[in-house]
This record gives sequence, structure tokens and C-alpha cells, in this order.
Amino acid sequence: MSGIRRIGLSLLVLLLAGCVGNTSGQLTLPKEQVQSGSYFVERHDKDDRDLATTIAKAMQARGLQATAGTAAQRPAEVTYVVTYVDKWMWDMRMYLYDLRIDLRDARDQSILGYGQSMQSSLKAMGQTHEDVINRALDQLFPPGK
Amino acid sequence: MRTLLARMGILCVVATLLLALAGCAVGNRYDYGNAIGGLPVSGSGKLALDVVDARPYVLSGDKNPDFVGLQRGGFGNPFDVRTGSGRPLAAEMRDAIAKALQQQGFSVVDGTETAPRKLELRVIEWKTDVMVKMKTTYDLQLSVFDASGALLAQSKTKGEDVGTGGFESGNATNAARTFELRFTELVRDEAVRKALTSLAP
Repeated sequence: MSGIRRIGLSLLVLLLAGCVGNTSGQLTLPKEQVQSGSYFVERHDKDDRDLATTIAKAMQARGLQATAGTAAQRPAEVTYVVTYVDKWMWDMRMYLYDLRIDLRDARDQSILGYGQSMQSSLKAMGQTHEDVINRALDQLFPPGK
Repeated sequence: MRTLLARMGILCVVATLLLALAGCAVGNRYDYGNAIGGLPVSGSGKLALDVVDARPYVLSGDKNPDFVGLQRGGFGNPFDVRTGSGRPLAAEMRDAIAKALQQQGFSVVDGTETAPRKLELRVIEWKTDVMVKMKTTYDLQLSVFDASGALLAQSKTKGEDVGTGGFESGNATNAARTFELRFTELVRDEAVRKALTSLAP
């Protein structure tokens, strides 16, 4: 194989390596506490897509008591607070590149767990916000556990 | 003329390769100074705080105290990642812990000062390694001492966390959150909480 071809092949491998998506997460709460607590998804100031409500709905679909709103709307009696960091990128359209969902104790703001889903442009093609949110939630609240 | 064009072509390919190999991997910095949002313990007394960097490669001088891990280029070639402030990792971790403890009511003083309780975090290992994913290798030990230096409680955590890897800002957030999660786990230990909350005002 000539040097140019070898370099070209290496470049192709590098480019293909960018077509990835991966997830991660963990939760330090026992299962019984997960089901018995109430959750408030706190919408951040820059979220004009209202991902907070979509996250709360996805959590409700998992049987969790979840509501959403701004920090000022947080009910006093809520057990856990859910926050998130969403990163968007442009590649012929805007897509949700990285979503990290953090779970905190409402009393002291200490962290209890997180779920994260990151996807490249190709991986995100044809996927909705709900798909990405559910992948991140699968890491935080693994199905069947 | 054709030779010249061929050489320029090779030069372009090599330049692109160099960019691909090192473009996003050089000079990355992670800030740990604001890593902790809250802690599951509260109190009101004077608390001495110390973070000791006991990483073997730092103690031997192979790596600087501001080293926090590696960011790999396209072929896995490693570049050092440093703290956001350029200060030692132990100093940034101490800042984060002190801010969180002060929010919880403690009056945090330097580790060399005399206080009814002293909290010491020994960082035996803390290193992130990012290519497609981020691997964090950690070995942390948290100890609570009384005013005479007697050990009251101790908790330890050791292992590897594998998370998503992406651009510098996302990796920095993940590194800080991993530290927050692991440190909170140490504080949540029943004996540690009891030793801290029994602190006289």
C-alpha cells in the first residue's frame, strides 16, 4: 500500500470514529426510595425548547411522580430535584449533541446520580429529543432494576 | 511542476492529520474549584480542612500538581490536561469542598489551624483519560480527626468510572461531577457524618 493510500485510510478511520454515540450514568439511591420520592425537573433559563417538561413526562411514563417548572415554581415538599445540561450543535440542522441529567437531594442539593447521552450528528439523525432523554434516563433509572 | 504539486498535496494531508491528531486534544483544562453543589451533612462549628495530593507520579515529580489527566488525539496519542486555574489539583478540590461545607453552616479554616474537627481528603489517585469515552480512575480516602489528632471516622472509595467523552467543556463538566459524586459518597458514610455533626459550635 502506498504512503498516500495509507494516510487516506487513516483519515477515513478518523472521520468514521466521529460517527459515535455513547451513554453513561449511575444512581446511588436504593430502588424503594426511587419509587417513593417526588421529583421536580428544574427548567434552566436558556431552555427555550422546554426540555424540562419533556423530561418530567418521560419520568412519569416510568411511574415516577415528576413535575417541571422554573426554580421559583419548585414545590417545598419535593424530595428530589432534577437538573440538566443540554448541548446543541449545528450540522445542516440543530441536534441535541449531549444531554446530561443530574439528580439531587432537594434538602441539601447533594448529588445522587446522573444519566448522560451523547451522540454525533450521524447517530442523532432521525432521533427526537424524547429518544435522547429516554437514553439518558435509562442510565439514571435502569429499566428492570 | 508535478513533483511540486505532489509534495504540496502530501504537505496538506500531513497538516490535516496533525490537526486531526491534536486539534482538540492540546491544552485542555478542567476546573474542580466549583465542583460541589451541596453535601449531605450540616453543622455550625469550626472545621479544619486539608486535601493532600498523594498521587505517586506527583510525589515523584513525574507530573506537576496541576495534572488532572490525559486527553488523547486521533491515534490515542496523549496530552496532559491541567486544572482550570493552573493551581494544584488539591487546592482546587479544597476550594470546592470548603465552599460546599460553608454553605452547610461550617466555619472552614486551614488544615494547619487548631479546630475541634479536622477533615482530610487524601487523593491517592485521580486521573481522567479521554478519547471517545472518559475514564476516571480514582482512589480517595476521607478522614475526620478530633482536636488531638485522633481518628474518629474514615471512608474510602476506589475504582474506575467510565462516562461519555466529547469536547473540552463537556469533559470538564463530567470530570467535576464525577469528583462531586465520589466525594459526596465519602461524606454520606454514616460514621463520617456522625463525626462531623457531633462537632461542638
